[in-house]
Amino acid sequence: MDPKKVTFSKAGRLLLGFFLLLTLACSGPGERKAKPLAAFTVKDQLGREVRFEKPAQRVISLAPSVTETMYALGAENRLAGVTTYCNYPPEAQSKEKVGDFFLPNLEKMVALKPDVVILIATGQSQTLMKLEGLGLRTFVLNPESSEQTMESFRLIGKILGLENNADLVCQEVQTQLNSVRNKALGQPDHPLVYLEIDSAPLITCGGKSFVGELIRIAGGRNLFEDLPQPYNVINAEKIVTGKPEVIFIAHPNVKAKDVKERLGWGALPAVKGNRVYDDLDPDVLTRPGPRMGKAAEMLYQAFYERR
Amino acid sequence: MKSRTFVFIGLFALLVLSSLLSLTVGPTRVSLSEFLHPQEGSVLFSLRLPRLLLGILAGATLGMCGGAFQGVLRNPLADPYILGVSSGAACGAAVALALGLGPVLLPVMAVSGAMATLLLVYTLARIGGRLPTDTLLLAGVIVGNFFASLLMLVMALSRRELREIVFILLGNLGIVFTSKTLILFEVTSLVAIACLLVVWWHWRDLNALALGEEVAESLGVAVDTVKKTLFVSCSIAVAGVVALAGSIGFVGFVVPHIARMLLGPNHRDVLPASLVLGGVLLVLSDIVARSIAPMELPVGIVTSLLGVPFFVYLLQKRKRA
Repeated sequence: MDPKKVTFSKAGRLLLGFFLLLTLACSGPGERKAKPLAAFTVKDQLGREVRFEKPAQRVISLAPSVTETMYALGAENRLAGVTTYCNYPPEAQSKEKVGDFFLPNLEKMVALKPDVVILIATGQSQTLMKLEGLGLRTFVLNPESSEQTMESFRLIGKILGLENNADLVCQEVQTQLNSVRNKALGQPDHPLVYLEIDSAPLITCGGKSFVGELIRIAGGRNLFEDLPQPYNVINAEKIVTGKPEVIFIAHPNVKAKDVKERLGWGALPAVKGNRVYDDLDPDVLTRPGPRMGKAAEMLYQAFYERR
Repeated sequence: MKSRTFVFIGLFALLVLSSLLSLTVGPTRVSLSEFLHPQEGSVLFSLRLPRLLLGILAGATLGMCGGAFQGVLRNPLADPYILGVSSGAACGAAVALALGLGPVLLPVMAVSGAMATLLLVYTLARIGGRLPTDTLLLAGVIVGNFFASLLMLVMALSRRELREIVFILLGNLGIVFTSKTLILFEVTSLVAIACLLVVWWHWRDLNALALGEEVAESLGVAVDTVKKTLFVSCSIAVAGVVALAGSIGFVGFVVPHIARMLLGPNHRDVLPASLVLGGVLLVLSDIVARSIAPMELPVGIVTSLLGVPFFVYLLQKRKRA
């Protein structure tokens, strides 16, 4: 046999296989095969219409929650770049880094030739302006509630052409949240909660924050439910007179046992009842991503099962 | 002479009044019975009183040291941070945060940072055993800038500590006192009071220095020794304050000016008046900072917002007179 011919046919087979794979990847599991490559537009959470020629293959994620969502949708292979904050799942840390959440490297992002850069409205408006100026396609998410987080899954699914996967993830998370909500509704008492985001100064989350909603779902009553902003600096007097029954320390600066050393805190029901917890992963609690069902379950267990 | 006594009585009355106000007004209601029968663990006893004392200590230290710095450097723009002490302290605190050293070692690191800054400034500024004012100012600004950049570097690299460092820079009296930090506070207070006494001891030398260094020397003032003593004691006191309450701005700059407007340039009057006025301004500012509950504002923002209009008012009044 002519050796040249063999090589050629081998290359041909490889090419054929590659195209087959590509079509598979584009269509995703169970997608309708009607118009896989037609251009489409998706409205992002800032209300911008973003046009795509084809489902995005190279995605730069500028937020840990987006990275987690990409993995949950089974689209980790399409992650062309992530931030240094993207630490979950652990494999995400070996992806190409484009800098941190606040100041990602523009040159690197351009060099990676992404189909789309997914970013977050709060904290990345400067980056958005710069990326738009550079002509990169951007897609902005702004999930501030479980509802909007679920919507963000669907939007990312649409961009990738993986709507069915997104629906599955949404269903799973919704089931988790519903199950926690129902369990909590069945409980006779609803503990008063103080969640500490930071200790110097004291910062907590209000009812308008993402984690504030999770506390409600899990059956807790947030001591700072009425805080006008999602997160803010608060006065210790409000905590000491508010008498929370459960305290979460969601930062590494102090340990649970240090809380009773604080002047005036020793008599709090949470301290006396040994219900100060410092082992709840702040990443899980505060990221509007696919682990929010798990976060609600963690909170529920702390409220009702870890006595 | 008589008006001087009146001014001082007025200032002390102001301090007492603002202290009482600070104990009664706050995000939560404190009943009268709590005042009459103070209980351990109450809001009044364990939260408001330490906060008030920290406010008075910080304000008094910044006010008096500001007066001393403006006097020694003969520069009306000087403030207690002009030799870079606050940058050094904030840098030390930032490193402590980045290393996760905890709430007790943090103030210790802050003081060490401030001392390192002072040492560096001192070494750079000294020329053959003397300490010329211009080189001192220059060295202070340069070293301060260096530590500020170092601080920015820590901020840029760190992920979690960013927020805390920002609050150190803004100043805040809302530290959570524990039994350990309370001891730290007591030690800092004692050291600061000792330093302030040393500063007060030199009011005659400061008056002589106001006439110029040569004149002061001819009057028998050991100019360089006086300068060294004042810089070191002020910086130690200020470092302690920054370690506990962050670098609260503006108090140390504006309060001595107000004191001079009220009482004239004699340091015998300016120094104690700055001490009391600093306490008053900071305590009043803190009341405002925490009465927009449930949130809190950094007190440094309020000090300038309250202090600038008052300063402008005094300036206008003096222009007309």
